[in-house]
Amino acid sequence: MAARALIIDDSPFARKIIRHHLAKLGCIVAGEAENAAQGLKMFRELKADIVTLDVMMPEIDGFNSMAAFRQIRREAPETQIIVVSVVPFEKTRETFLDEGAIAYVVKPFNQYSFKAVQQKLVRLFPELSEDRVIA
Amino acid sequence: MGQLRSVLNRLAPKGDEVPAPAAAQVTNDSPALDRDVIAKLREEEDNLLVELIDLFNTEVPAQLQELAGALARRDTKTAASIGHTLKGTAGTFGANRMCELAANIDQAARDGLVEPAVAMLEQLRPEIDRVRGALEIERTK
Repeated sequence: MAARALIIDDSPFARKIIRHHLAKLGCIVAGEAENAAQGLKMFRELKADIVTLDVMMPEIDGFNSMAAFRQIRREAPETQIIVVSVVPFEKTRETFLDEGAIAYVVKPFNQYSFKAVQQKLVRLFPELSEDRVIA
Repeated sequence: MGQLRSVLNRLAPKGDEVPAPAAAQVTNDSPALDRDVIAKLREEEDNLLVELIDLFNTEVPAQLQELAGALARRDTKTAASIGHTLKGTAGTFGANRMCELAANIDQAARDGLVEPAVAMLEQLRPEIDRVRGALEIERTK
């Protein structure tokens, strides 16, 4: 069964591009959320294997991306979280990676943005493939 | 977002802060779109570029309207958020001048500077028209 992914990002452009790259690997994109609170709710419903999480989204009810990240890590440490951010600082990247994110992708995306992520996901989910041809 | 931004600033190395709007070098004469960015989007399967252009045409006018409304009622938090979103949208297409103007609005709104943000919005509108025109040309290629 293909890995199921949830995209949490307030930008519809980022969601579309991330969906495109995950689908290319063979992931099933099970849902998309526009903010951290909605994302956590959908995560609990969908039980996604992979979550992409934008860290700079408007807070809803005081709940932000860092809180969602830590909550998902607590509830389902086996879930693979890819952090997406406009913040290119090494220290911020290290913080998320130290806390268990498998990758830290900086926006705006370029042709290299998803390469390392795709390689990691293929290693973690053997059913995925970088060479998958979309019919 | 303000709280998260301050957390991220604390996490950043001393002396750093969340990136400020891109520095000059981007002028009115600059191309509306970065050709390399567009070329890479065009290489992707599934008509990704055309889908993103369609999204631009539906999302951006609505965001401009929301931004004008937010500034009119002096809601700088919402205005900064929309400026931030428009900056990200511009970055998707390599629309560097649009990105710079949106970043300036984001920054001005976060600083509580409503009138300057309104003036910047009036600069942003024609730039968005220029980007839209350039995207429509790319669609037909």
